[in-house]
Amino acid sequence: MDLARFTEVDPTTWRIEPREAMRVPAIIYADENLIRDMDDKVFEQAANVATLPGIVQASYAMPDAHWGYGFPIGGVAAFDPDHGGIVSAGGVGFDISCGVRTMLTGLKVADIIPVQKSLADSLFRQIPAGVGSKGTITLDTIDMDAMLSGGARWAVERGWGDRRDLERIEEEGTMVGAKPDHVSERAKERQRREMGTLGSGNHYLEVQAVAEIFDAAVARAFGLALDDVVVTGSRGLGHQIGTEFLKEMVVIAQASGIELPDRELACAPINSEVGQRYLGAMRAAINCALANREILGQYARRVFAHFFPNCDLRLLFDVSHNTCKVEPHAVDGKRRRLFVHRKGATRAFGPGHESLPAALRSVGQPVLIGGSMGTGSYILVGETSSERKAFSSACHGAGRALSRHAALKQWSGRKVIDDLAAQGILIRSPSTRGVAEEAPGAYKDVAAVVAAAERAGLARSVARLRPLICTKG
Amino acid sequence: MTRCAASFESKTGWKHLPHDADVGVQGWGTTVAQAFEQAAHALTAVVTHAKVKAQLSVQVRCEAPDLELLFVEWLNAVIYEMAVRKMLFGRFAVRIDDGWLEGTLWGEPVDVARHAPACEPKGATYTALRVAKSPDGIWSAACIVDV
Repeated sequence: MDLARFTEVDPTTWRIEPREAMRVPAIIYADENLIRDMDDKVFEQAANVATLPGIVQASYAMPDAHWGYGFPIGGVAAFDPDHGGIVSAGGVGFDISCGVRTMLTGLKVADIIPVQKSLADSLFRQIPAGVGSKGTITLDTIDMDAMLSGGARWAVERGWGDRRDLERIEEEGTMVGAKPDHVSERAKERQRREMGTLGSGNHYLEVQAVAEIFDAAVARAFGLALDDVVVTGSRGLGHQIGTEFLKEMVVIAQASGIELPDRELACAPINSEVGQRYLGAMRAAINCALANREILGQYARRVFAHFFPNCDLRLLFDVSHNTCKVEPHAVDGKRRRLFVHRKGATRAFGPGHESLPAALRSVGQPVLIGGSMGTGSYILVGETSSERKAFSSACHGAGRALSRHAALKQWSGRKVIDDLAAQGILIRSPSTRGVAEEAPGAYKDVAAVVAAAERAGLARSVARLRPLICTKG
Repeated sequence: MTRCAASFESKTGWKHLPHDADVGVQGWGTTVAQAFEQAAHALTAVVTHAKVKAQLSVQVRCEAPDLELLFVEWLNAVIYEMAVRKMLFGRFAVRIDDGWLEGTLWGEPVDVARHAPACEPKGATYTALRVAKSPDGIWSAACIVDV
């Protein structure tokens, strides 16, 4: 992007001044290189979000932002229901509550190396991944509604989880206000046989080693030490809910007199029948994602227990990326109840936040940043300054630098697998083409994204993780 | 590699349009129905480059107030059947009449070893959505699909 289009507030804060229908400015947090490399569409989409009714303060984009649909991926925006604020299905996206969790194994790299290959094979075999994979759980009507209401707590009660995990999951594992009745039969049908599956594309499960520690005190509070091995993975759901409400909201937005610069920004007033119905369904989809990640975590525990009978995988934290959540935030000195949309962004509460479990309250929320297959991941911690900067939000990954199309032109999946194996990283996937599309070079430099997030005051680096095993759908 | 079934000079075909995180599908033909059928081929090619056998058929029906919204409905109907039946489709027949679309999809259950599915389409979006007829009479239908 052309930097001349922005007001440079500081080296990591770039403001698009309000123009035409924009109600507030748009702010992109990134360093000069990242913002230069961003697609012009990020500018356009962040500016479009700023036109929506009831938006508070600014439309934000995180350092990993890229061209999405409607909102940019990496977009954050908060709306006030008392000022005509809206809720947008496009602002949450299709992969509702897609997220990441990190589990601490208590093992060292030296424990993994002798069994690395068979552990990789076992994780790949035991945890269904990819298109056409089948889970072993089928939900009947009663279980479906119980799952959509109960989230990870439901999974634990059904024996697919560990009660200790719940306090380490956003919303303590259960999103309140979920309305299974507002989820269509078609959406439920789409989920009936998908529990305990990893999904495909950028969904993954990795065994990683702590390679570097930047903040020893917080790392200690998180239970991270050098050479420790952790398991990280992502998965989400809600495609059908997104599809259906997007369609409905295009009509409602028009009927409510909301001018949409892009149909994908389809939205409804929060205080409207459709808005409330969407929130009920979207919260049910959040529960579905929380339940699914709890089940996947339990599957990972079983596989590890086979190799390491005394190993006890403890959940560090579980974060969600595509959500709209009601949160109190200070705006101009006043506490306001806002509907915060995060699309491809992580909630990042700083120290002292009331929703954090006692063990983490004094340090802040773990912010888990999945990198690409080869480059590893980062663990950050929420900063108090992030509330003022972007309603307590941070980036969610490296963000794609190249389209799947371009990645496929540039890399062979087989070669990517061989090159990573030579570096000690084992990849397991049903599709070499899928591996090529997710090649490390197709993503931005995750270190640069994390550094920009840190400099912008969104979150602070705690540790860098390097992958040992990656299974992906 | 740019995947497409025909060069744009040809009267029917499909291709993928690059998008940062997701993928664009475009189909074209001498009728709008043919453009929709071709775009569905592009959708299948998001998942696999392997041949998909026409073993089973599935009927879908959808409705929308205009052709562009109908195109999104059509792709979403195909995505839904792929997801729920765990199938891939390799042949499509579309009939459009007065805001309604009736489609037949022919395909087979996903065979992970043979199809090596690369990723899963989640939903068709309104981004880069365009259904239009060119001056030379060729219909084109395109949009971004979330994967």
